[in-house]
Amino acid sequence: MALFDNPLALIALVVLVLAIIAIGLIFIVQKKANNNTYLILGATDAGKTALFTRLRYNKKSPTITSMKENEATIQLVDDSGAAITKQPIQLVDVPGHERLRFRYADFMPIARGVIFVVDSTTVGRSARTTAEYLYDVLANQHTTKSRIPIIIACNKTDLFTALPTSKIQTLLEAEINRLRATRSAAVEQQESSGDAIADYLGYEGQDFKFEHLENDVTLIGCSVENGDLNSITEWIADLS
Amino acid sequence: MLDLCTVLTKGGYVLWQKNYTHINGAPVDALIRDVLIEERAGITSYNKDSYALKWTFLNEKELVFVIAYQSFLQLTYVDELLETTKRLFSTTFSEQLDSSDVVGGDYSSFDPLFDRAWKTLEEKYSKSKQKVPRKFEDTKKFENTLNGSKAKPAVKEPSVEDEIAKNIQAMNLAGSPRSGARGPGGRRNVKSPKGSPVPSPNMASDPAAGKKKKSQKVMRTWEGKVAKGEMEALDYSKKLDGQEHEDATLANAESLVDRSKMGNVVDGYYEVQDVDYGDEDEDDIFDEEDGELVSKPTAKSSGVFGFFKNLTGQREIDAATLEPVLQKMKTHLIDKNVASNISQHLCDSVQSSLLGKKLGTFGSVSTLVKDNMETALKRILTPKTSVDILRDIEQAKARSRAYSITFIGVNGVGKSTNLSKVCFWLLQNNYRVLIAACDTFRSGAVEQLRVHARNLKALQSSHSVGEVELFERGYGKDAAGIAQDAITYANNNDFDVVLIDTAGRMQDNEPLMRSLAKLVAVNNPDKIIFVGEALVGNEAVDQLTKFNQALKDFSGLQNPRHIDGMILTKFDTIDDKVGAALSMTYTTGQPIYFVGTGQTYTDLKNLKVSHVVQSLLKN
Repeated sequence: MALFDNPLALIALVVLVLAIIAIGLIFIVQKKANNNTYLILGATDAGKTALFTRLRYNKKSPTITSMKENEATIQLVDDSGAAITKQPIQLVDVPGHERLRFRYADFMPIARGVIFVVDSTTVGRSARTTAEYLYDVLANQHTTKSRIPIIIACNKTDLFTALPTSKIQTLLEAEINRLRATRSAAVEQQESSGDAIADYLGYEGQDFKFEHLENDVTLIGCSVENGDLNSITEWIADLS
Repeated sequence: MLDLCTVLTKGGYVLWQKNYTHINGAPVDALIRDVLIEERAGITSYNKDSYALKWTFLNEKELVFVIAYQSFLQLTYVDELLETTKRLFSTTFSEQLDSSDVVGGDYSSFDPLFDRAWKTLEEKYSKSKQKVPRKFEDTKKFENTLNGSKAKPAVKEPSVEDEIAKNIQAMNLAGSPRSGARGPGGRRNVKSPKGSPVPSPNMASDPAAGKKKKSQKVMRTWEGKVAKGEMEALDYSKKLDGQEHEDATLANAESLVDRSKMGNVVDGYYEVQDVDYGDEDEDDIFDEEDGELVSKPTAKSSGVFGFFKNLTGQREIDAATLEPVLQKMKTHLIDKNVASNISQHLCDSVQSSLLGKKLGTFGSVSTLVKDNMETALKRILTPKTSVDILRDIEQAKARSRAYSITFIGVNGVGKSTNLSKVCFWLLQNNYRVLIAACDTFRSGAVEQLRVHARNLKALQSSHSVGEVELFERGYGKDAAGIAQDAITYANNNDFDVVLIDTAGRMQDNEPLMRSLAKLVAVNNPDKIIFVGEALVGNEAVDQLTKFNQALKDFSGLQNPRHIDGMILTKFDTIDDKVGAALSMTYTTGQPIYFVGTGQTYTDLKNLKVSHVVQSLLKN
């Protein structure tokens, strides 16, 4: 207790503690500010690379199944050419092939937002595989911890076989509802001590809804083909 | 004759493309999905529908060049055309490719360049192939005619006769001394002391020995003479005069004996030198410094610039640099129990994706290879289909039918044991499970399952919905029939899952493989799960390919089934030699559903990809 009797030592201690807290705060704020990476995820043939090209070059380009991520730092502009974000954003297009998509997890810690692209014309048939990927993204520990907002971009609305956004929402919610039951019952991973159980998505005892999640999940329709991407750019502008 | 030529980036952009006809389907997409992503880039061509595809990488710029043509055409120039295209493209657009914005560039001006290159190559190859019919005068037949024999080319004849004459001379020379040499020394063998070429001290003191030595000396010159004669006859080059001849002969004969390897003469006995193993190089070649290996090829670049380039610049990776590192990686993988041909394929694939890449100043080749191998392994081990069996069962339940899983494999790998583990897991999730005992061959197999069923029943708490029942029909009956009965029984009695246990069989046993294919063809189970030991090495590939082949060949179906996934058993016994997991997933392209890690019902785990990759790359 002799230490606290000396007022000088006490002051020094307080100053030290304050300094540490200040440094910590600055660090956290800076880190938050640096998180300006947006991920483009989704199954193969959903239109991720095409969306990436649209956002970056504002043009159409023939694409093929990706084998590697595409990354770029871009400044999004509105129709009048004015910048809509304070600073340029980092855009990453992750291949959608089942064997390659594991790479998305490496980007999750620095993600500011996730654009999950869905093919509106085929989602009726591929609801399960799409929902499995979406489930993995939603249940990712970084998504839940830093509440990364997710926009589900229902692409290819220009085609007449495209399902309406509300229909896609019900499809995906129903699938995730089933998945969270089977996933939580799955055999545990080897080498795991049993405490690493993934968070249960939504509320127990209720059917799964996107609004039950702690992070924002929005569904919008878009068409990369026609350049109808305003809802996505607005969403990005709101976040940055 | 080409259908399509295209230049792609690995990110998925088509930089330049030329179609010559309408393309059916998407062969290039199929190539990427089936070959390039699956780390099978070690192979050189790929057939899809009616197309044959060939490709090459420009790793430095992350580009892929693909050419597609009708597979019935035998185009020999495609490989060369690919290389030419690659060279042309990278030189023509070097600025655009070097800029950070590769995709934004305009590459449409490549059309005429490519067409020209193609035309040139096509002409070159058609020319070299062209066959002009021989003139009658050149044929053998003509020689046999009267005119022909008269008009025999004057130039050729003497040379042939010369040769014959020379050969006869040589034969005479070689033959005559042999007949004369049937004397005392004729058959003397080298080991005999008196025939020793090096005179020993005690030999020299003995006059008789000296005499013999003399005669022997004569023999040696005589032998030399033979050689000389032979040489003369067989020497078709310039003539030498006498003295030079002698010298040449001596030198020649001398060259037949390596003095340093000559044996010693001990007590008049000529002892052949011991086998020399040379200085054993104890150093492990793989321990060599990577830096040294890398700098070797670049060391040639001279001058100050070369020095700075070495110091700061980027170095291009070539095959010579990669070879030792990949060799080391391959043996490392084999040490981890990966099948040897699979580790070879993987190394080839990694090599093809690294050649031509630039290496940073402080990067070492081995870390680069290791990183690349890690991604490759992750890709292979990551399942490409859903492994959520419970979700599948739910789907079947919604259609009010039982979901059937067949366990197949060789003898003694743990089919029944792991079946009961899976059963335990399903019971925990409140499913009603029927176990079909279709091993009607091995005595005790049914009893084994009965014990498991009894245990599992005992483990069930009273209020749980899950239920297990054993469906048995004794021994010696047809397994396919029992499985069929079991599935019908399950559908009628509201069971959710049918687990079909089959008899273990060796992959080479054709009658048993036929009966397995029949079981699968008749019952069409939802999942065919191959149970394999984690202990197995090269054999894993053989087992899986033969089981798959049997399911395909003996089914008699239009769309035969194949193995849908694997269970890797005895995983707790292998420490970090987890190569079997890689061999199996690479061979089938199917996921590993579970790993068996112990003796109890709860010892069933999901394979953790990162853990396997770590174990494989760990030293």
